Amino acid sequence: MQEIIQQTLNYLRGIWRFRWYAMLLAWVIPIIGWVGVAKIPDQYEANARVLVDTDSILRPLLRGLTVETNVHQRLGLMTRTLLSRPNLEKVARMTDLDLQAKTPGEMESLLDELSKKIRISSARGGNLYTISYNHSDPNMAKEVVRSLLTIFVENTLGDTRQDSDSAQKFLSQQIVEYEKRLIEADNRIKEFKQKNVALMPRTGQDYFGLLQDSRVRLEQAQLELEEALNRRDELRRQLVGEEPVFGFGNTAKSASHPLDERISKLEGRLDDLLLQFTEEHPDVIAVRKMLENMESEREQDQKNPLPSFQSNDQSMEQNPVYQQTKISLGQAEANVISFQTRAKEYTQRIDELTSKVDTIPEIEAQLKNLNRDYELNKKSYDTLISRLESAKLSEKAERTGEDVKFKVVDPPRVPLAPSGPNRLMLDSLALFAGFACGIGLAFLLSQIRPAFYDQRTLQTFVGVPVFGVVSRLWTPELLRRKRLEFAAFVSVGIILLFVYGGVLLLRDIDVEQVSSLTETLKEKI
Amino acid sequence: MSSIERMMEKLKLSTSNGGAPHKVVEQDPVGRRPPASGAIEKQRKACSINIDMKSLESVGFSAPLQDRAKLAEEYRRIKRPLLSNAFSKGANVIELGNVIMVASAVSGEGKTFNTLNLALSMANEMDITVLVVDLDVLNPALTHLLELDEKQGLTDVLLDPDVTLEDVILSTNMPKLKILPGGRRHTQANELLASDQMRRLTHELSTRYPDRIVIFDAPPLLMTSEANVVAGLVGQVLLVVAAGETTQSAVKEAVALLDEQKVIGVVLNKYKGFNNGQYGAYYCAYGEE
Repeated sequence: MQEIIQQTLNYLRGIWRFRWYAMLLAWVIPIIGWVGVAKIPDQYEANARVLVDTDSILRPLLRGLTVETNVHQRLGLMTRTLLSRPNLEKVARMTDLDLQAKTPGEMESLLDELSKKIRISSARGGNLYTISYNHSDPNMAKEVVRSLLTIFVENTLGDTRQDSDSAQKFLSQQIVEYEKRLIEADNRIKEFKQKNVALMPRTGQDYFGLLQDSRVRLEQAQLELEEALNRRDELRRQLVGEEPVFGFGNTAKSASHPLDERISKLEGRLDDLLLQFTEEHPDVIAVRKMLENMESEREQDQKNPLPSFQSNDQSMEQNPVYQQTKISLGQAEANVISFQTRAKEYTQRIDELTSKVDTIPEIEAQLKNLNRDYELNKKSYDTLISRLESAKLSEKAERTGEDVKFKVVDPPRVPLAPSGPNRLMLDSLALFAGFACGIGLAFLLSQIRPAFYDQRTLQTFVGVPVFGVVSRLWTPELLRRKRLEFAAFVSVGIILLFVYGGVLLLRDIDVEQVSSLTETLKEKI
Repeated sequence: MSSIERMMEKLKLSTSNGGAPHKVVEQDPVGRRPPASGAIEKQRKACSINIDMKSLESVGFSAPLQDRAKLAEEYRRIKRPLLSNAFSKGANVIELGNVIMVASAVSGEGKTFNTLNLALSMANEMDITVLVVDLDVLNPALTHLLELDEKQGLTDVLLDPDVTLEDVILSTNMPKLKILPGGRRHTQANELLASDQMRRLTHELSTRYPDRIVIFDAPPLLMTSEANVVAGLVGQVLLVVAAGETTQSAVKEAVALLDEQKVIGVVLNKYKGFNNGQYGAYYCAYGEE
């Protein structure tokens, strides 16, 4: 610690030794600096602010329907690429700045200067963009900002349109390709199906499902067959037992004739007619004639009767219970046969399936593969088509101008007061630079021409023994001179500060004010 | 205008520890006669000067009263190694060890100041006599300081075989301190100092009394060639370095010029630090008591 302090002290002493050189530099540099600052021409800054409104009403409405580009990102990129060379050239042409540049080299430097001085910044939130430009001519500053604004708006709109166009083109290409693929897949499936037509599984069921199903059905059919057999047997037995019962009850009614019924009907009708009409009515006469014919016919029949068994059979036939049972038996017989064929069919089918246990699943798997391929292509194809649609829709939405809106909040205008250079800062900088350089020079000199300040450095440097140290003796005369010199030094420094203040004051006073002041003074004189 | 004022005017430009005048009160009124060969006899009897500490102090060649103890202590430190070298015995004996040259790299570093104060300090020793020789014949600051410009001195002895050492050595009010002024200015100062005569003279001064210390106030080493010549004659060299003034390279160069066989010591003069490694306060109080 002691050594560090000693070292620092030695440095300070070294600087103090060359204080007048430092002071000289502290005077020279600021004066040069102030003259230089006075010669810098005024700069005028033109500003324009644009509000980029990305939250239009159309946007939320179309959400999901259109392709949503990230507007902020696009704008960010836009602001960064706005200062590209072609854009700057455009600006130069629009503002006639290019007329000043006669050689390519001049043009180059002109564009360089443009790109250096143009500032584009987005304020908080990112939607408010500020474009500003500095120029010694206020009108030119405004013109440059105006043309930049135009380019900015144009480019941001044009860009997406191009993007959208190319995107659509790509989508269309893809769609054509997928269509081709889809057709190919379709063909493959068709061919496959044709080749394996016999082995094609039914829709919705694979091989094992089918086998299982067939087995269940077979079981069911066998059960039903058994039921039908039992039923038939039972019915047959009933029918055999019924016959004697019927035959014996029907013999008494053998006298009845088939015409009896008709005759009784006609008699009834004759009675009805007689209630309304007289005997002379043609209807009555016709009915009576018909009745007489029938009665005579019946009498003839009764003279030649039919054999008895015939009549016995006929009576059995006429028994409704018997007839019913017989019909049921017939049905049962038919059922039995149908169930038998069904069971046979299922057994056959199961056999068939079992025999093809190797081939069918494989074919099924192949088919599934083909189908999957097809489905995949189809899905992509459908998506592409829907995307293309939404791309077209979003392009249309953009065309309406509702997607991104540019509102010029502050149009560029001709600045009245100069915005720069910051003379106060530059003047102060010159002053500080003077001080810093002065101290630096003093330090440099003290390092170039180092002296000894303490015994230790002397000892180590010279390498011969130091016998002793003699302190400085301060005589009154010497002290007086030392103080005088110090006072002079400080006052020279203070004068410098005063000059600095004066320079700042002069800067504040307008040039016009000064000229008017001098004129009034002249008049008075 | 008093002589003090005149000297102050003359030496205003030189720094305090280095060359300011002072008043010499001559006890003998005859001492001011212009030097001439005919006046030798008379001058021989009139060779005592008075060194007034007050006058020395006023021109910065001695410390004000409050600092005197400190200054004295600083010189005690410096003279100790010089004396031990001068009177070393046996194997360590140094040839002409009692002849000490006070030199510096450039002018204005305080050779004369150191010569005088060292001489005064040594004169306080019990058993030593001190002879101060102003060897800076081109700029005899010591001679100026003591207002001995008119006196015969070293050059006269070297040039004139009739002038003997006894004629020019001046005694002072301090019994153990004698002074040999520079003498007349001479254009061939370098040759004079390099002469055999000078060598013999140095030898004589060194060996005449066994208890004598001879201190040469030499010209600056880097500015004159005489200093190198003189450095060859002495046993010890005390190099004065002004703190914060003499550049390091100058010191290095000066040291390089000196013969390595000689005993070389350095004194850091005009030190402005708070503490020079000594405990001044103690000695100060001691000195005042």
